[in-house]
Amino acid sequence: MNEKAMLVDVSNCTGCRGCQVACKSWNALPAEQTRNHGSYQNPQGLSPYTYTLIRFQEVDDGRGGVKWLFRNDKCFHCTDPGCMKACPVPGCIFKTPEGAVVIDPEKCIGCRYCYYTCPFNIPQYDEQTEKMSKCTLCHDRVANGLIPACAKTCPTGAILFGNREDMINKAYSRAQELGGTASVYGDRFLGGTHVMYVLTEPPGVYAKLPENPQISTGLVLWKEVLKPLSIASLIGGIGACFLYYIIKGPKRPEFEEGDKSGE
Amino acid sequence: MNNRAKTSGHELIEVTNTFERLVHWLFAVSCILLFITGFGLMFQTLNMIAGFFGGYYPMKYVHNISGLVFVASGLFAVIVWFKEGTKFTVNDIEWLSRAGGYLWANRIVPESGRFNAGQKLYYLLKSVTWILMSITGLIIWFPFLFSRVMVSNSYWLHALGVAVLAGSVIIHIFLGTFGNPGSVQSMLGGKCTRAWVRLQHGRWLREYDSKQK
Amino acid sequence: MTNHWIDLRNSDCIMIMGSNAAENHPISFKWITKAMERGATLISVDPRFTRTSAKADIYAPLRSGTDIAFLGGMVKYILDKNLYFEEYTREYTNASFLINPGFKLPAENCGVFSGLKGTMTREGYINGKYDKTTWSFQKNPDGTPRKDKTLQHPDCVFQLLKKHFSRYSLDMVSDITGTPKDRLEQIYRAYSATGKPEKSGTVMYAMGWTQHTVGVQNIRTMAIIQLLLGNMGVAGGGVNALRGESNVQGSTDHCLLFHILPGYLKAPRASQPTLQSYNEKNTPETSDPMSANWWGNYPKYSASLMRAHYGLNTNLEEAYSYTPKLDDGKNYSWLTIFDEMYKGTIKGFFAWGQNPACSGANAGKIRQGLARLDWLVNVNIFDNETGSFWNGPGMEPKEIETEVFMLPCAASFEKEGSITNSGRWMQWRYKATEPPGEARPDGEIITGLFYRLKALYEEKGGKLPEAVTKLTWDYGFKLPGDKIRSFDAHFVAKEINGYFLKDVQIKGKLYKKGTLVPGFAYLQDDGSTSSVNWLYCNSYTEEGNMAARRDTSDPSGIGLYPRWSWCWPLNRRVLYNRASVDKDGQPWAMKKPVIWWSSETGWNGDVPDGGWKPLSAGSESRYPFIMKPDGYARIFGPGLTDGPFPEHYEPLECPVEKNLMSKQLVNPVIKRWDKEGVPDLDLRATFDSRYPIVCTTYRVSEHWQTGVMTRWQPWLLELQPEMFVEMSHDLADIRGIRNGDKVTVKSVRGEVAAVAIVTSRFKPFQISRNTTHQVGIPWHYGWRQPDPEKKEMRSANLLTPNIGDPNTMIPESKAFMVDVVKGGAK
Repeated sequence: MNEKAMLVDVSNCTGCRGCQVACKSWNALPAEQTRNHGSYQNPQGLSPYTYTLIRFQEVDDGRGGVKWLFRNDKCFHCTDPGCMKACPVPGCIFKTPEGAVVIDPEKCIGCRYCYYTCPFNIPQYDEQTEKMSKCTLCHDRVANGLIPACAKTCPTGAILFGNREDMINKAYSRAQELGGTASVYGDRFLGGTHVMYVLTEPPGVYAKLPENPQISTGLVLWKEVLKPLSIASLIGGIGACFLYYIIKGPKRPEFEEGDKSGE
Repeated sequence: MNNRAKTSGHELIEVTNTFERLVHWLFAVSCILLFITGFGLMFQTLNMIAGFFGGYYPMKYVHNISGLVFVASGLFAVIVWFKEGTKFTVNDIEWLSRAGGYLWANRIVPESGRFNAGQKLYYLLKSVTWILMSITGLIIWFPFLFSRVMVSNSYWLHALGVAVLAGSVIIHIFLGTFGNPGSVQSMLGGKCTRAWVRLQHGRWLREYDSKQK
Repeated sequence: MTNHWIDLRNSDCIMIMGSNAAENHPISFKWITKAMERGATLISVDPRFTRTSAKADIYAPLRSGTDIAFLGGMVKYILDKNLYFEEYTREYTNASFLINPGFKLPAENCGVFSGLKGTMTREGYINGKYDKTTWSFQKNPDGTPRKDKTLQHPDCVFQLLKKHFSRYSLDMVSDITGTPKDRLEQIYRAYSATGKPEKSGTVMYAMGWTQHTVGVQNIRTMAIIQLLLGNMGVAGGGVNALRGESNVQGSTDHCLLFHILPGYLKAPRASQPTLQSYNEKNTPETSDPMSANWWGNYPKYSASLMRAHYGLNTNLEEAYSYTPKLDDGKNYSWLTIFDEMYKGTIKGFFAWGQNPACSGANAGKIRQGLARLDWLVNVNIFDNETGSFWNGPGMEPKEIETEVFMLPCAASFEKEGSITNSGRWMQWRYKATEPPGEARPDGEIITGLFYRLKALYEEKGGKLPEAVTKLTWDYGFKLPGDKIRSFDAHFVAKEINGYFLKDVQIKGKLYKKGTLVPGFAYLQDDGSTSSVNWLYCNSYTEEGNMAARRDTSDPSGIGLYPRWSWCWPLNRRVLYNRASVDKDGQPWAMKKPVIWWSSETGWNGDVPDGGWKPLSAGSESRYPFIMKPDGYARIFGPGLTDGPFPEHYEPLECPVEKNLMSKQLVNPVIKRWDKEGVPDLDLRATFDSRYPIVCTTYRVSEHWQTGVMTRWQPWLLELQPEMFVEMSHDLADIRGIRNGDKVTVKSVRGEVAAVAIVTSRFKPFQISRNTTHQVGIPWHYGWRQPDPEKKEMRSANLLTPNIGDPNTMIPESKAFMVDVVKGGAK
């Protein structure tokens, strides 16, 4: 099994943002024109040109002090990805053997279904190209035996990459080591993600991080109920009409006697 | 009876006006295009549909443009047939209880006006789904103008509309063609035979005749 | 660094103070993280809660400029609670030395040490100078220092230290620093736990300690703590200066500064007309046979340097006579240079790889100085605020007559050469790509300059033309006509290491003329060897370029990696490592030994600080601190200009009227540029209601120095796009500022436009029960890039005062007074 995964240990992240730059460098993404909004976080969120970013967050430590949280945000590469389920184009969103969920920009039609069905709001729409884009887990690097650019550049080992089993084991032993409110995030939902966290705070504390991410009921209803139902409706309609036609026949107008000489 | 030729069953009576027919066909064609392209977008296995349109991207465009025609013509359709489509009578209930004579009542049903109760129901169904499909369709097309909850719920609601419409449109087409020979003329030239009108819309024919006098 | 980056992983307690390592030395956290995984405690002390603080086990805020008080409290805590490493303190430091009975501590002498001469004002002495006669050791009849190994004699260093720091009580320290007392105690307890022999603690500092009028004394206080706790020379210990540039260690080693020659030899003075007088003045002596007194070799190193400069073109005395000399008593530091430029005495200026218009304290004065030059040569990879100073905000290009030349140079990856990192590793780097356009490596630019100057001197003569015309210039393969074909860094590296200039017989072995010297022990004072920098002798030998080694094996097990690159001196990875063992040569910490002695194999582990036997061998051994004339580490340090012990003085600009510790407000021996009642650019506003807020400057991960390199890098600019000022919610409320507002930060010297970051990471300080606010600004920004057309004042150094530490003249840009108001700068 060559299923891989990335483990982001936020306890080791110093917020240096080497990952953000390395990502742009490897993926040849342009810089955005930003301004300071009163925080170190920049750009403000993910974008078609920013596949990953550190979210900076100040929270009260409950003792009159402050905690400064740094969370590397990027695609989670779900085993059961909502985006892929929603995507109308065959092969546009695909999974690699290592577990990466990748959008093929050649095939993308910019419908944005993936953004609205992603439990984490990850894929981003580019107005210019009318395409969606997001982190690829550097599947091009991984396929060639390298590790993703962000993991490669991380100075503290806060971003690790390796066999998924090893990463899960590492995550649990690290969370146990940290104790307190530390927990593992990502191994249990959406079929298990390929980007996981060791979080020091409860998940609900982190901005833009759903506590219980899941494929929305609407998406299940859409893809698993209504989709077959619409085909059933179509075929049922045709079938009913056909049966009616052969059993009861058409309802023809009856001409009266006088009508025959009407010409 | 004064003029035999005029009251002959072969006499052609104008049952629809040009505007109605124009609205109908715009609506109908957009609907069918939407269906085809929509199915192409919903079922990855039907990728030959995208192939027919020259790819998914053009297909999406056809869907979106057809959607605009659908919204516009649908609006006219709803307005034009509003009076006749929404006015139910005691006869209509009787008609419905006999399922329009199509299934078990051996075709003996109360005489209908210009719309029979089934058509009225279809009108209502189309009106409701037109609203549903237009709104959800526009939200899906321009998602950035709406909230995330609205957009993600629009997807399944749009699909719900498809499920409802797929069967009903098929039945509508069948009843307007093979099921009721002669009906299709009402939407082609607009003129149907007296015999057909007598059969399908007897009460309306009497009103028509009385107006002619 | 006395130790090195990887060694951080061996520490049991890491204190980061005067540094923001997570942001400015991100890679250090690779090793800090490893130490923490092993259970080490990380302490962060900083006025502002930084990215470093976010990772720390214990964080304490302190008001900028009060580090001596903070650390002085720790010295007192260690002494009061007997937490010091007794054997280490007694045997390896000068704690037992007896001091001249005439020596007086500040407590009994108006806040200053004995011997001060200066002008008395209501703030205490200013522009003082110490007569150090009383700062001396008592001598035995044989000339060795008098000691009391019981440490009980009232004149001994240990007792004086105790007496001096007895004033640094928790209450006093907390009142000065604004650090809560419980936090002080928590940190003192955690850090002094490393006084146990098997434990080690380290400190990582940077400009947060040096850029003060008491900069050197800040570090001295920590050095005293490290000596008391036995943390010098051991794995995971040391006093570790995190250098702010990849090669600033290398440039310091090779005499970047005015007062030294390569290898920390002293710059010659006008009063030392001959090499002999120069050597005599600078060669220390010892009467103790067990003191190695390594600087006793001074004449060998100075002679080898003269040979490296002039080869066999001259004799040694001639070579020395050509070497530039400083006028006695005169200072030639950065602040002085720009003061002279401002006065119009300096006419030409090479700004080589620097950006003084942004990087210099009181940059407004520097910009005025540049306008008074005849010519300015800007050597850089991008244009900057210095090269385009004439076009900057508030400048009238028509009125400026300075002729500016831009020489584009190659970036580090566009040329070959070595850099020396903070851990003293000399690492060879290769050229990755050709320099763009007309850009050329610095070596080539200097070579071109040299040939032109030489030709001019040969043609036209002038004052002392031989100083240039007789220089050797063997930095490449020679063409006919004695010029080099092209500059080659390998030739420079070899010259730095040094050659035998004739066949020399040493310890029975013959070294042929023209071969490379194997190590500094082979350098000679008779002119038979050359070496630019004795510390680097052994870096490029007949065995090859040691800096280019890339072997990742680590037989030591403590991360020394002895065959990866090369480390000065002699590939010794941990300085003073002979102090990491007891008198029998056995490591204090058996789990992480740096070196250890075995009677069969001798010394094992790192390259020891001299190969003598352990101390128990008596006369066959030497004391471990070989660079000191007496062989003992200095708790009492009479070498500094501002006191043998550290004493808390307020920054030049401070929020308080009085120094709580004494009547002396600021360091008495700093050179004051400001003159009361004289309105010039050398202004000062202390305890001034117009400027009530303490301000400090710093760097962020995303930019480097004045941003000349990083502001042209869109990916980095995206991360930190513009000048900002960080402040507490309380201060923002008082000033009516909301997060993200445009604000102006102003000091008596200038104004800067910035965006407000209102944050819980800054909290007001309680200084003697008064609420004192502090803000902080990065110094990466200017006006040249981005948005040159806006011409907005954004450089932090427009605000900083031009006042220097009395030992180093490093400006005090980490503590000064400002105000912050809403809205843009004028």
